[in-house]
Amino acid sequence: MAHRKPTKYPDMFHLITPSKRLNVLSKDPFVAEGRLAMPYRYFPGPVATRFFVELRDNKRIMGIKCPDCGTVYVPVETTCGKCFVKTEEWIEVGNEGVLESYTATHYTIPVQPTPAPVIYGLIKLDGADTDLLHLLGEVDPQVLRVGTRMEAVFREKREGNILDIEYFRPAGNH
Amino acid sequence: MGERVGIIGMGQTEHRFIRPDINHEEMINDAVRLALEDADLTIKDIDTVIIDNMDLFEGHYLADGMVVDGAGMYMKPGLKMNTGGTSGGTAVATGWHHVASGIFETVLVIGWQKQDASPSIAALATAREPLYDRGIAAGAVGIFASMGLSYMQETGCREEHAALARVIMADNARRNPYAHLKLDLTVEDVLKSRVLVWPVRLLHMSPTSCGACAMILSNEKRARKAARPPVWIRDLETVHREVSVFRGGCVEPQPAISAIEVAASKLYKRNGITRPARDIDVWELYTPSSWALFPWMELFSICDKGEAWRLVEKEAIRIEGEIPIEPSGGVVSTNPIGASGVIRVAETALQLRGEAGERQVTKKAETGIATAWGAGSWIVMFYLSKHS
Amino acid sequence: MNEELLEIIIPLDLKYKWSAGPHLGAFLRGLKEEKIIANRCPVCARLQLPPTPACGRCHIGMGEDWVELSHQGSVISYSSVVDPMFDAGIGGMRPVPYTIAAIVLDGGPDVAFFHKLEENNPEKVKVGMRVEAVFRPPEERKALMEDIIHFRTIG
Ligand SMILES: [Zn+2]
Ligand SMILES: [Zn+2]
Repeated sequence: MAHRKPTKYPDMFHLITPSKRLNVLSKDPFVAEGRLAMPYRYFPGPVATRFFVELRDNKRIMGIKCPDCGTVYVPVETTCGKCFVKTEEWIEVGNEGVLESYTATHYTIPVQPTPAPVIYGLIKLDGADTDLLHLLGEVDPQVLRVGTRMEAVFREKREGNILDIEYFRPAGNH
Repeated sequence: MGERVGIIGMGQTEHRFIRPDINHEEMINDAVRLALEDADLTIKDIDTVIIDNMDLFEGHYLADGMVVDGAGMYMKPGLKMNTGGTSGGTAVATGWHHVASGIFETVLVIGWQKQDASPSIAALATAREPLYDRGIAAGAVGIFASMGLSYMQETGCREEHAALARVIMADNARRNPYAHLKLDLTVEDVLKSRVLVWPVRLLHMSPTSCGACAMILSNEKRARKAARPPVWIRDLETVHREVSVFRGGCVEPQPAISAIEVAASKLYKRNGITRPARDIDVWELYTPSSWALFPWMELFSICDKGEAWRLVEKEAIRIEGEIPIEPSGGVVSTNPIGASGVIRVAETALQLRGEAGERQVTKKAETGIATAWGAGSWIVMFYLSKHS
Repeated sequence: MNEELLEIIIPLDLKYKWSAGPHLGAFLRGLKEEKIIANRCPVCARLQLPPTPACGRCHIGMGEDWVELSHQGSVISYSSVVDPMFDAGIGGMRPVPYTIAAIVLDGGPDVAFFHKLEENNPEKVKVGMRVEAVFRPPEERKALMEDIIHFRTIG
């Protein structure tokens, strides 16, 4: 077996500069500003593409159904986690549903789609078994109640993403 | 030593530069379904799931959360690994430890990468210390250039030999339906390709691939009842050292090398492997550049120092040769990084099952070595055998 | 069946604060004062560049044994970067070509310093060539690696 000899450090010591007692360690923290900026690309794949294209072109919210347990997923899932089978049957769920939960954030961070306060709601659309997280509009969070019927408000200009729905508002009272 | 660990199922997707037709979770799901089908198991038989990728390449923190359903992790214990280029090896090693410990009976290991998501080299450069060397570090090509340069200076190897190594890997890849680049190359083609960092040319480097590979490991009790003949991971070894070549006071040439040597000598000693070229029938080494093949062959003691290029010249490393290396076409043909380490083990296991199809090595294959390499100097290596 | 496949571009631009810690911090502050400093392991006597709090081989704290290295040294390895590459630190393409080199500075034969060369013609770069650090003017220094512009060829 071929074995490389390990590097022998001690041979080189006579070449090294003699040590100095430099007093260089400081108690002041050294902090530098850094940045990590990259463009990422995400391919949602054919199933999620259809979900977004339906929003964009037809203002329709589509769900997908697990053939085993019958769960209708909105947003769509390609695999039912519970059954580990591929979902396949497309179901048009209503653009209306029931508010399951909601909250409001009172600070602004860049990843939020709008400045604070941002009112978020979980909406179980008619015919869906899962909750869709989205923004709420035209509501007063102080008087809003879980169980309120909500409807989707679509943007005029739609681009094929989840914000093609601008927000959900209470149904029928406008 | 704990429980014996057998590989009882494997599945990999096709590998391509770009997969607009599928998302991460769906791609993983395809590999998992193939592995379960291969093992004739259902997801209910899986006790825990180990996943790995390099998530900064894809730009999402907590990749685990995004892929749970497709990976079959719903309500199961699991872990996410990321150790750079060795990630796939680390994931298989983690799966091995989970079974060998006796705590889990059946483990699913999944590696994947979708390199169509970002300029991977920019993500790769963040492996460097941000204030010291990130600003000038430039990916992995330079490491292989330095290896190639030193190797040519120390031996009789010429550029033609590295080109021939690349041609052999391309020939192998054309016989592997899963390989990404199935190039029909001549030595001249390689020598004419553009220089990246001399002597590394474009064709010497691995592609940026999208793909996934899943593997099912189990203890002996389950493996004995498996649908396919189990292949045993008899032993493994992992060695890490400083990430950056020039950090922490290293003027040793190519620090990567000594990590390999340390791992190989420990593993061989434990398993009574005295002449690796004779005792091991098939090799799937993680060679991100064809220039890495020569030092790798010597550090894994496949041959004496300075002799690897002669074995390549004699074409002994071909599928029909005495010492078949990278019968799959290797990492230079296919590199979905997080999956690459898992693929090395899976391809070796396929050879030992005798089910590698057109890429099946001619010699009788009963033992194999699979490795994963990364971070400039880290190594995970596996000793596989048909016999427990 | 819909043939369209969506492609979503998600730019990520995050700001970080990196704490160098006392040892790397001392090295970077040293650059501002035109000094390149390393520290030495009290057990194996190996130098560490950049300085670290512990020797990985001996598993021992490095103590207070600091060494100032010469600004001159020899190139032991180099690569010429010619392909444009995306740099997450600047959020765009890094200017090319440039040459990076491992330089053994006089006084520290067991450590290499990693920086750019002024010479960008790979034909003119040789292993063993003598080089010297070119620092920015004092008022432009920020205690960062860029306080050294590059290493110029000497002799
Ligand atoms: Zn279901
Ligand atoms: Zn030490």
